[in-house]
Parts: sequence; structure tokens; C-alpha cells
Amino acid sequence: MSETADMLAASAAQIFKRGGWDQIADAGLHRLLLPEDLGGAGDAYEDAVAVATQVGVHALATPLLETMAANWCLAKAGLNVDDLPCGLVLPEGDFLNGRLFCTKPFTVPKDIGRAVIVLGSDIAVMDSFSNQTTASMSLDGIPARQFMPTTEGLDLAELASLPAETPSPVLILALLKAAAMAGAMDAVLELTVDYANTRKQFGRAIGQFQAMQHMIAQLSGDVVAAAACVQHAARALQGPHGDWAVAAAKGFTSEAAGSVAAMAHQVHGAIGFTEDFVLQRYTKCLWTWREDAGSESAWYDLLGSAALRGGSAGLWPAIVEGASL
Amino acid sequence: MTRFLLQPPDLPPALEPLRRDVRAFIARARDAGWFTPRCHGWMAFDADFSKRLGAAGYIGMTFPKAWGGHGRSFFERYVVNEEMLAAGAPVGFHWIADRQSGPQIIKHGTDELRKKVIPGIVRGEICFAIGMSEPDAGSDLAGIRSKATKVDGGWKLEGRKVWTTNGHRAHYMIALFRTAPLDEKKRHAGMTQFVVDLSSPGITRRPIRDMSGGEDFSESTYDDVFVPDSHVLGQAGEGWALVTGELAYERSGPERFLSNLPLLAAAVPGLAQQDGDAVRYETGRLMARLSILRQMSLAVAGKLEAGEQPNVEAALVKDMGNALEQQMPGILRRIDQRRPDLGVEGYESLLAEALLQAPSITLRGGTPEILRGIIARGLGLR
Ligand SMILES: Cc1cc2nc3c(=O)[nH]c(=O)nc-3n(C[C@H](O)[C@H](O)[C@H](O)COP(=O)(O)OP(=O)(O)OC[C@H]3O[C@@H](n4cnc5c(N)ncnc54)[C@H](O)[C@@H]3O)c2cc1C
Repeated sequence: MSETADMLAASAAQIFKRGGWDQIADAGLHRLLLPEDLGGAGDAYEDAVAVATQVGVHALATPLLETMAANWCLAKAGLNVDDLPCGLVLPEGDFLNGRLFCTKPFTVPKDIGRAVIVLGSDIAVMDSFSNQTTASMSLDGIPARQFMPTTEGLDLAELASLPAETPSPVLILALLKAAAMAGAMDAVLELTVDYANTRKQFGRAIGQFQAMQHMIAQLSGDVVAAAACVQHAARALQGPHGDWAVAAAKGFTSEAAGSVAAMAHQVHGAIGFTEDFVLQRYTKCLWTWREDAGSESAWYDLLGSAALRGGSAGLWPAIVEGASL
Repeated sequence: MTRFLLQPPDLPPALEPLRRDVRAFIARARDAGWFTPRCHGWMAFDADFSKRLGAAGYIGMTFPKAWGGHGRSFFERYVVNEEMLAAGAPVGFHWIADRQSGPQIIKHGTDELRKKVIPGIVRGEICFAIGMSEPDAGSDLAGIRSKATKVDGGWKLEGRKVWTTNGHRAHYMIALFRTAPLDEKKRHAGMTQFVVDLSSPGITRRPIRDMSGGEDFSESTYDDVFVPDSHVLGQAGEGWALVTGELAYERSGPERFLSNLPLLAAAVPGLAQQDGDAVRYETGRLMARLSILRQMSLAVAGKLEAGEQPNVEAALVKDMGNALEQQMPGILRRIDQRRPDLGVEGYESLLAEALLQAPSITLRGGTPEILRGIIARGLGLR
């Protein structure tokens, strides 16, 4: 990590300990990916990843990552950016006559003023959330509204296009969510090692049992790999085929989220199943974030399709240089 | 808790011309019929191919120029080796010498020894073997019984080594012998690494046929074998530290996850025809993991380049990489209906060979059980 990214991570950690949106907005974290004249650092993916990782380390249920990515879209499309939490929606469907016709349900957090809707390189802003929604609640406890497909479509405020050569916004959100998962997994590993060293059964720390040691060693492999692939993806996104590295990172972290959570709960025994013990905050975040911006099924499908298209001769170059999805 | 970070390095752009050269070399070699692509290329013994690689400057790349090496970086070496494995080239003759025996001798050997063997390794003419395992000492290496006794001007070896890759056809072996009796309180003390000339009188060697029909590993016995003092690595009695020092080289390279890549490449056309959700998911999953393991392995190469000793990180790479390459034939079986068949050229025989090799992946170079113990201790589990 660069020095700026390190410093950002440290100050984000301080802010996240106190928590609220106002502190986040005061520090300008939601503008990090914007150009300098809008209070950001350009397409500073590595810095953004450092902040997103801290979101995970603190198991923070916040719309910050969606807001960072949504603001990035707004600025790229030349639309206004503000300092309120914002949703980012990647639905399936079409924009027609200034309305959104989606083919599958989607959700947005309840406490946001507006959401950016992305369809390919077209984006739209939605700022009136009609009564047609049903209440929804993600596993990490953020209340949300769910929109169902309707024949009338949904009202949109502004429509714009992203300039050519802009990376797809889903990549930005996927990268940030992968980073948050890497951060949460790191915290889970630390909790698990500490617990295994302190909890005693049969007269010794459970971390002395080989079955526990081997499970924790495997857990740590996933954690190290998660951090590595996120770092690599943040850098790769600056070059060609960044989509390949992001797909690998979001696919892997989403898959590992499940096994890391399962192994950590097994080591923690019943205490880990209680509301009071902190582990559940992390595992709920992991189970939520792995679904956001594409689960492993979606990303592995894209990687697989690309690999199969590339044929035998394209396989190795794709691993080395990446390939277009 | 101790944190282990593998930060993927920013590879210097200067590597790209080298990669192009290596790919061109491989294409020429394949067209000329010097090799047919196969899995586990680093186990494939081909003295002629290694000589050609030596002549091209692709062996001993990281060895200092002063000792006849090429003085290049770990990343340059990495590029050459990963391209060879991905292409399924037979690099087994020089693999061990280039990976760990050469570096070990440069670090801990006498000048006389360096002069004697390093230039030959670099030319692709000297083959090395690793003599650690014995009949009663596998995972528990400190249990070795083969012993060396001090004599005038050198040492006398007595004992037996098994499972030694290339042991029956190598020129030298870096072998671990007891130079002091086992002390149960200090099990790792009193062992010494020797560079044994395998043509010395008193050595009997025979290949052991493995379950795939190959004869790549061997058994050797040592009966009053003389080794000169100049062939001792480091200080007598400090062999354990030397052995551990080799492990990061041994465990973190591309051979720990790319061994079966030629199989996956051969599977692709058939998989593309079949398509389907499971085919795409599993192919994508394999590609994601291979891409990520490569970044992790490169990160370890970066640590080696920086002079660190990333033993725990290397154990992590080997454990995850071995799991992936071992699972690959099974994953392919689930999404592709073709039967493994040793007689049908192409995918079917590559699958059959990969299945037959699979058990060895998690044995050679240390088992997952041992690796996970190392990782757990590294994390601070007590
Ligand atoms: C193809 C091949 C090539 C090889 N090449 C070489 C070579 O070039 N040089 C060389 O020196 N050796 C070589 N080996 C030997 C290899 O290093 C050993 O096979 C390996 O270290 C395991 O030892 P072992 O086979 O005696 O099994 P054992 O040590 O007897 O282990 C058997 C099983 O018990 C488990 N076990 C052992 N101890 C523990 C423990 N403390 N906790 C939990 N489980 C445990 C192991 O993980 C394993 O699953 C090679 C092996 C193979 C298969």
C-alpha cells in the first residue's frame, strides 16, 4: 500500500470508530474517487480500497461504498454531486421515456435521498421513492425498500451517459465491496486467533488442538488471498483488463466469505452465536456484501465465459495479463 | 496475532520483452519437436532440453555473475519458469538445481564448491537431487538416521535416503545427515547438509517405480562414502537452519499451482462446446484462483528478492496452490463427460495422467498437515 493509502486507512479507522455519516462526510471520504476540484483524488482506486477495507475492519453498516461509487458515476457523467448518502443500483431492464423498466426486483437503503441507477453506460438519478415499495432488510440490518418490476416503470429525475472508456460502475462497487470483505475477514481472523488462544477446554487452549489449528490456518489462507487480490485489482483497474482482476477479486472474496464465516463460527462455539459477541456483526456483513455488486456466481460466470471464448491458447495469457470480460 | 501480507508487486515493464522472448523460444521448441506439452513439466526429466535452456541463458538467472550466473532478478526468473510450466515444457532436469540447490551453494558453500558446480548448473548440465527423506523420516525430518562421521579431510556417510526425485540420475545431492546423535530435547540440533557427488564409491541407487509407471524418484544407500570438507554447507551441525532456509524457495513457486495448467488448456475447446452454468462457473472459479495464486506467489518472489525469509507465506501458497491443482481433475470430471484414457492423445490422456499424479501433489515438498502446523504457529497459536 502507498503512504497516502496508509494514512487514509488510519484516519478512516478513527472516523469509523465514532461512526456517523456526518463525520464521514466532513472528512470527505464519500468524495474520494472524484476529481480534485470536487474534493477527491482522481480515480484513486488504491486509496478507496484502503478506506473500504476499514469499513470491513469495523463491520460498519454504512452506505459509504455505494455513495463513493455513485458519486464517481455522477461526476463522470457531469451531474451534480452532494454530501448525502446515495444508493447505487445495478438493475436489469431498460430506460424508456425517462422511466426505468426493470425486469427483476431491486433494493435501495431506506435512509438515502437519492440513488444512481446504472444500465450499461447510461445512468439516471432517482430521487422520489414512491409507495410501490415493500420493506426489505439486509442481513447486516440496514432497512431498505424493495422495488418490484411494474408495467408503468419508475420515475427518474435525471438521465445522462458515462463517457466512452469509463470503467463500468459495477467494477467500482465490486472492488470496494471486495475490499470491505477483505477487511472484515482480517478482523475475523484476529478474533479467531485470540479466542483460540484464550478459550480453554480439556485443560488447554483450544488453539492447541490440531483440528483447530488446521482450520484456522486454512482460514488465514483465504484472508491473505483476499487482501492480495483486492490490492492487485485496485492497481489493475488503472490499466487494460482491470475487469478481469476485479472479477477474480469479487468472485474469490464472495466465495471465501462463506467459508471464512463458517470456520470462524466453528472455532468460537456457542459464544459466537450470541448477539452480544462481536463475531456475528462481521459474519452478517460478509453474508451481505458477498451478494452486493455480483456474487461469486455472477463473476465466475463472466470469467468462465471469457476463458472459454479465448480458447486453449488464450488461457495462460488471461491468467497473466487478464482478458476482456 | 502475527499478520501475513502478500502484496502483489508492480512488475517492471522490462519483463515484457523477456516474456516475449521466452514465448518465442517455447514456440520454436514445440515446432521443432523438442517437447510435447505435458502436466507436471517440472517433474519431466530431459537433459537435452535443459542444455538448450542453459544455452539460451534461462538457468541460474538469479545467480551472481561472479559465480557464473546471470545476475538477474527473481521476477525475471519467475517469468521464464512460469512460461515453461504453462507450456508444459520438460524442465525437470535442472529445476531443483536452479530453484534451491544452486542458491543454497552460493549462500552456504565453499568457493571451491561454487566453482565446481555453479557454472555447470547454469549451462543446464548438472542435475541436483534433495536428500532429506528416509524410510523412517518423512514429515518428521529430525528423525533421520543416516549419519556422517568426521574423518581426516572430510566425512564418512552411512545410511539410506528414499523418495529422492531424480536421485538415480542426478550428479549431486544436497543431503541431510546426522553429525551428532539425536538428542530428544534438541531434536533439530546435530544435522549437517552435504553436497554429495553421487558417483562416489559406496553409493548404490535404484529408481522406484511410482503408481503412474514413472521412475522419477529413487532410493539410495551410503556405505562408507567419503565427502570432502569442502562439500559441507554452512557449519557442521547447523543443517536444520539451512534446510528451513531452502523452504521458501521450494514452496512458493509457480510449480505449486500451475502443474495441471496444460490439462485445463486442453479441456477448454470441449468445455466451450458444452457450455452451461456449471461449466462457466467452475472454469471461472479455476481462472480466478489461478490468477490470484499467481499474484500471491509473485509477492513471495518479491520478498525473496528483498532478502526476507517468507516461510509461512510460502507454506500458504503451497497449501492453497496444491489444493487447487489436486482438485482440478476432479472438477473437470464433474463438468465434462469425457473418460480419462491413457491411450487417447490430448485431453483424455492428460486427464488420466493428472489423476494418477494427483496423490503426490500434497506429499512432495511437505504435506498440508505439516504446512498448516507451520502457518498456525506463525499466526501465534500456542
Ligand atoms: C513424488 C514425490 C517426490 C518426492 N521427492 C522427494 C525428494 O526429492 N527429496 C526428499 O527428501 N523427499 C521427497 N519426497 C518425500 C516427501 O517429502 C515425503 O513424502 C513427505 O515429507 C511425507 O513423508 P512420508 O511420505 O514419510 O509420510 P508421513 O510423514 O509418514 O505422513 C503420512 C501422513 O501422516 C500425516 N502426518 C505426519 N505427521 C503428522 C503430524 N505431526 N500431524 C498430522 N499429520 C501428520 C502426513 O501429513 C501424511 O498425511 C517425495 C515424495 C513424493 C511423493
